[in-house]
Amino acid sequence: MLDNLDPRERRSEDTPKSRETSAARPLSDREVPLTGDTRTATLNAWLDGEVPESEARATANARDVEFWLRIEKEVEVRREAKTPVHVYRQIMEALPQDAPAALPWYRKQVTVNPMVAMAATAGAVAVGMAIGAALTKGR
Amino acid sequence: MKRYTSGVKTTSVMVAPRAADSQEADHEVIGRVLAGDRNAFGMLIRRYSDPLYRHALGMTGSPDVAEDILQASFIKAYQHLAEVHGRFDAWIFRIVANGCKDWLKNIRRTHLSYEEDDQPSAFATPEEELDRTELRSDLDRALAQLAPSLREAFVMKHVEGRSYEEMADLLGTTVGALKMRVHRAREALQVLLEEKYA
Repeated sequence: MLDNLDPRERRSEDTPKSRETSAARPLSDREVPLTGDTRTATLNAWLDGEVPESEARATANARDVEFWLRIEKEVEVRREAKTPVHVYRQIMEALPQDAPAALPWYRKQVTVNPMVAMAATAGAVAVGMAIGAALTKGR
Repeated sequence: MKRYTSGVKTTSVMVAPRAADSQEADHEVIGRVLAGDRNAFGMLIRRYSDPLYRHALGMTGSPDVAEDILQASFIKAYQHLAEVHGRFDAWIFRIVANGCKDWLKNIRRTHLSYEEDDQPSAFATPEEELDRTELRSDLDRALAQLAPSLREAFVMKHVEGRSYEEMADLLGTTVGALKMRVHRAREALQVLLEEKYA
């Protein structure tokens, strides 16, 4: 199956959904409040950078704060990960020698501005008149 | 809104490419590649490979798989480069993210590990390093148990350090939905890990 790489056509699971259809969404995506208490909310607010650590320590469970600080220390190492040097060379070597294929004319984007619209309308009218005249003459 | 120093450091890696290459806009580089300058594509790889590699690594847990996905994605991007209509960074991110999701769908992993990881350690002593090895494999196992959408949200927020707005832009969903995913992912990870670590 060919992948659809058109960024304007998102995958179905990525499609933005309106609030009206929220009931049809997976539970994990629904914008409903979590059942957690204030402590959980404060913890999340701290992890989201919305409140200082002191507030998290004052409101949330101290063990939870320590837990996430530990997780963050591990995650910070991953955040520094860099693409291994050989990968760049591998990709460049694996690229096709030819330039990327140009888009066929029927897949190119068409920008319709008032001038283009008027010209297209005038053209369509002219073609219609020509066909009408030919049919009338043929009778 | 004031941002506090917290467990998450927010960066904007996709919006602000590296300064060395930033003088030439993506669409100009793409134009050169389409005109036959194959080497110009290397500029786009250098510009975006690190955040994309981190995403693939976070999603798959395997450096080898992350490299494969990155390579396949850039080759696919090269072949279809004429189809880029908007931002290249968002377009290539989508290709990589879809590659990760496809891999997760197709491969049933029983063990995920960063054992081949040669990233520098932030831990000073051998004891700390041993703790870290244990924590990272436990975290990998816990992440592997999350639904792909929750794992993706957690990785983008915590590992890649993106803002919710940037995540919403890249994933085409709302900030509220993403907050919900991240919060649920945290909740699930804490349940999975707290017995040992909390």
